[in-house]
Amino acid sequence: MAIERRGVLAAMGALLLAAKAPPPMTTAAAPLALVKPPRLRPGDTVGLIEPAGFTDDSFDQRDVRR
Amino acid sequence: MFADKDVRAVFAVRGGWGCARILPLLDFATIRANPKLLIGFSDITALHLAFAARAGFTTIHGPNASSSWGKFSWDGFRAVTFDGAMPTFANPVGNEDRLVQRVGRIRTLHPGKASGRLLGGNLTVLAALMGTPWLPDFTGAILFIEDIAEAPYRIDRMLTQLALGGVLGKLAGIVFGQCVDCGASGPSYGGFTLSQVLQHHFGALGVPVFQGAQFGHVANQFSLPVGVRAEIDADLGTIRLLEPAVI
Repeated sequence: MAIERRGVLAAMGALLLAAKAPPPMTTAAAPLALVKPPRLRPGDTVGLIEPAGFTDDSFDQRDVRR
Repeated sequence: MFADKDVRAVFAVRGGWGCARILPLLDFATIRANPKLLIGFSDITALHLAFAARAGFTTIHGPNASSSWGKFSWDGFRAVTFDGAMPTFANPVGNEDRLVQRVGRIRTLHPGKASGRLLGGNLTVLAALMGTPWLPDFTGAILFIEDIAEAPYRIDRMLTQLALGGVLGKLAGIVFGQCVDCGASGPSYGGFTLSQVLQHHFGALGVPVFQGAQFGHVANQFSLPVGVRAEIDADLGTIRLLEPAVI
């Protein structure tokens, strides 16, 4: 009987998912009571952050200000 | 910025990489004491998840400040953040001259409805936070994930990490958004397609799952409030908020 790689891998995937998941290894934080921030209103001041890069293109900066 | 009473919300200008580097440097006591909307997506997922875990208030997975702000994106954002509404997010229906919708179509991987807290963002960033104290508890959550320029074998590797880490087995439902440029190339050539990878990981979970929701690295996108309760309909491809995101 021919064995196809795709079939074997798919079956392995199904077995993986069907198996009882082990206790999570993450250190996930317990849920906090959800606090709702105040809604926005026209004219509000908003802060701009770039924690994942920087923008040095003047067009982009003008666009964001607008 | 969170301590500044004059600042009502904080926008990420753009995504990128490395946002997780600053997580240990943030003063979450100050942030939690000053809840205000944080808006952005992509690498900003590191902040969304850390805020859900440590700050306990809603943030908005939506367009960055420098993103496209067309009517679709703006209307959803305004409804959630200005109006305090509880919209039902659904993909825009185009005016295609076809029998079957192609643009913006959704794919049901497992039918049904489910409700839970919305948690998620960029899959790569989420996977990179596994095993750190900056992830919230996903028990009973609706996971929403998206990505860009990741080959199917990489998506498979990240989803396997989530499965082995026990996250996927905890979920009430899953929405896979847009995966831009995620076609097979390089090492993936001849391997599984993205659809097959998603089916392998999600199909057997027994919870509602659909693919193709309009969020991620696309021009028109939902503004999904992280942490709020929502109901998904995997047959219709909708996400309905069950509570307002703001007061």
